[in-house]
Amino acid sequence: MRFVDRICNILAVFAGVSLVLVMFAIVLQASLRTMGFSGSSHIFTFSEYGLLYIAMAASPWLVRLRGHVFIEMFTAVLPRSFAPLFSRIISGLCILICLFLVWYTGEATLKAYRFGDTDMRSLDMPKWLLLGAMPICFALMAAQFSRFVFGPDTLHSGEAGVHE
Amino acid sequence: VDRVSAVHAFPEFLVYTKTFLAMVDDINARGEGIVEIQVRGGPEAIGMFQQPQAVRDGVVDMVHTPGSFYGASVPEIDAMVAARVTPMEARANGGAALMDQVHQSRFNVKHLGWIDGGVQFHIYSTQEFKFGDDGVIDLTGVKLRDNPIYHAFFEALNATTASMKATEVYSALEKGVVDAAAWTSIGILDLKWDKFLKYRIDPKFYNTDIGVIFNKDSWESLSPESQKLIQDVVAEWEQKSYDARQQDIAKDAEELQKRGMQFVSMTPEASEIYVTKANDAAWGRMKGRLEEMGGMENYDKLRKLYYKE
Amino acid sequence: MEWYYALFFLLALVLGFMFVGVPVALAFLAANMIGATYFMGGNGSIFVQMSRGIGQLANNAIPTVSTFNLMPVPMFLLMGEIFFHTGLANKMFSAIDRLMGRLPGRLSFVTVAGGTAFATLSGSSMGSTALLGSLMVPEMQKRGYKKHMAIGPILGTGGLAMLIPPSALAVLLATLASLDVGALLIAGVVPGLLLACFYAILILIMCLIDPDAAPSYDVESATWGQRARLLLVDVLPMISIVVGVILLILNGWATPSESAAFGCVGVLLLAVLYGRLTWDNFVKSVTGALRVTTMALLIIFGSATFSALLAFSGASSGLIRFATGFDLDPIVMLLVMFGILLILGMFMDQLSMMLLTVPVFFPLAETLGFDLIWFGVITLLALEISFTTPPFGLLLFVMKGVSAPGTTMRDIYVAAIPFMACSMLLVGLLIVWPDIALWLPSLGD
Ligand code: NA
Ligand code: NA
Repeated sequence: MRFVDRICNILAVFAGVSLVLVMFAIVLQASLRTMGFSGSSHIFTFSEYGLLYIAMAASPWLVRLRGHVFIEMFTAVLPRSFAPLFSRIISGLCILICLFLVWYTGEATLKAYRFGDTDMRSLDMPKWLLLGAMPICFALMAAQFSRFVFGPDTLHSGEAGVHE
Repeated sequence: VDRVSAVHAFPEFLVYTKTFLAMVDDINARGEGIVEIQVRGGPEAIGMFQQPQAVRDGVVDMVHTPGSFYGASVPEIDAMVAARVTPMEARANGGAALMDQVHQSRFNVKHLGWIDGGVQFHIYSTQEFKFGDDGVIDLTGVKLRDNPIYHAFFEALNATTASMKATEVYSALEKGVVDAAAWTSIGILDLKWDKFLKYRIDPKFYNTDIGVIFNKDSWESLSPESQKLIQDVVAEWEQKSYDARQQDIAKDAEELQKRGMQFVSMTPEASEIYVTKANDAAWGRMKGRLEEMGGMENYDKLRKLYYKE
Repeated sequence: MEWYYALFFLLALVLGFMFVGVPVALAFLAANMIGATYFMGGNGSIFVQMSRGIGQLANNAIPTVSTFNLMPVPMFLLMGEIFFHTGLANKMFSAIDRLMGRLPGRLSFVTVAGGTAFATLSGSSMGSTALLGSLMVPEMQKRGYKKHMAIGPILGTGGLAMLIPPSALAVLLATLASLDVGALLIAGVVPGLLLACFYAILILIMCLIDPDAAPSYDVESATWGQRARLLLVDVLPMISIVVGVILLILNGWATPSESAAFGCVGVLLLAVLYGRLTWDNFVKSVTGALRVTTMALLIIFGSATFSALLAFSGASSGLIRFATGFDLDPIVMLLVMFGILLILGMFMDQLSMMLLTVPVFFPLAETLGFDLIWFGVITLLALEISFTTPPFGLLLFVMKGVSAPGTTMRDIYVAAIPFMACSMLLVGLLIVWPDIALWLPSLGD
């Protein structure tokens, strides 16, 4: 698990760095255009792809922080004794969802690679490079959800609406 | 009864979608008891650029889309972009059959026809055009809205390009983020860009390459009657839509001029240079892709059939 | 499958997964996998269908997530976080406190003013919600404001983005419905400003009913000299960033989406000038922005295909055809169309909604004798409200991401409702006095 956490952290750092780079790249390209230089329209294309990579790279890390929003309506009214078990079952369901996604987005990646599919913007981007981030992301997400099935903490707190 | 699912790349307000929907109605009316096409929607049902791959993989049976949207998978589509023949001529001389054949082998789809042909592009601008020594427009310093279809050509014209979706062009023109854009002879009025674009440069270049493609496995599971009916109707609509668009071109030109747009022409010599530059960019792109993917033998064939060399 | 079965099936799936506590993004994805297998699977065995359907889902996600339209979200988030973590925000709001004296709920008013300015100019409801949420909510909670006084105004003003120009969605609506773009844009101005006024009045009323909601803590009174200094040193430089962003957009030097990145760099420079930028608070800012960006993008990743499934399965077009098929009083038909937009808006993105509804609604509106520009403004209002409609309005989730730990979805729902009521009131007023929308465009004729 330590090893998986390390990978997730590294990917999150990559996402954070990308975010800052995208910011400077957009400012650079828009300034160049305003001043009448061509710059490179690829900057926008890669900023757009950056959003996909950022989402895929930081999602597993965010699972650990419980940063993906969920709704505590049902989990809040469950009896205290049953709530932790139920939360673990739901985390198990999340793992299952992620594993399905790993399999089929992986298959989509291979298919795109075989056909040589491209995403056509300012350049022809091989689609498998984009799709390929998905199985990795969902596999790591599944690994992170497993901590809420087997670890000491649970995903849900059961405290919806208690604070006011 | 054969049931066929279909989607179209553009929203319903565009004339091209209207053509497609009318054609589908025609097929359904004449194919009663034989075949029924169910249109599932436009870009809201499957993303505009995801539709070609969806029909190839069998998610839908039939798609109405510009070929350029999957040009990287079927490079031969550029023969239509830079064609000097009409869809009907391409069908008569065997070009359409070759186009269909490469679609089948490369993309697992049948290419049924080239709809709304005979429509070409212009560059429109908010400012007066400047010309170089050779009489060709000089776009140095002009901020031009870009699109993968004519990217190579615009680079050759020295323009400063900015990529954006068609839906963002209106505000970009309004704010001066771009001062020029390319579009077909028709449709500027629908998009209301004529509020800002005041000059149009002739000659036209390129062709729209909107076609109907059909998943090959689904096609083979159709009854021979259905196949014949769909193929015949699409071929008929090549002529029908071509004629209708020629009228639209005249109508839109009149309306644009009435609203104060100036049509500027280059000299015949400059026009020749300009159009050749455009066509070379498209054929060059096709050649480059074919060199990577194989199938160079089609290059000369298509050049003969679509470019009449 | 009949449209109503499809609709029920898809909604039940996503609602079910969310209800039991599956994260929103995964709930959408799980529902999508099942739905896509059924509706987009084509022919063949279940495995072939799954592979096709879910493969399509993966492909659909690429353009919906990697689009420049979403760029204001991470950029404005980053801007807000840097503002907050470097202490520049605290500096500015303390100064405003002293400048505005004892006006109760003053930061809520500041939020309405700032939110109106930002949402309006950026044209991005989500980006503006992200900026104000990360900026204002922590400051207001620190000063003892109750949650709804901070969250409500932000959710409310976020929706002004599409009503007041520049508004890419208004341009799009005008294009799809063949309306005069300029007229529709101008028609949104008065209703948009009116709505901002409603929000201000609402805050005043809430402060009067419950004085504890926005505590009127004592602030040192300031001399005129001190006031001038506060204004010059603590307020104007920050506001100049906002003004700078506005100028960039107005002069055509940057698109609204690009300007968000300029704002971000601007705040960074300002933090350097004030000597407030440290490695530590920079990392904190990036981390904060990354959290909410990732959360929101993954929800969009999931919900985009859900929109497509509703459309592809015929569920949404069936609903539209069914509900508009009755021969009813024009006003009732208007409310029916409004209701459909609200329902679809809970699950669909605004572009898909427009593509689906415009071809049916606008011809119908014409036969009912409505002014189409007026109807366009009402449509924009419905789109705006649906963005904050519990339980799934996307802005609500963005808000959850940026607000303090311990803020529940219920807190956010409760905060959103009075501000939604303001929009509804505006719709009512527009029905009674269409001139609220039509007066300004009529001057141009
Ligand atoms: Na706006
Ligand atoms: Na919504």
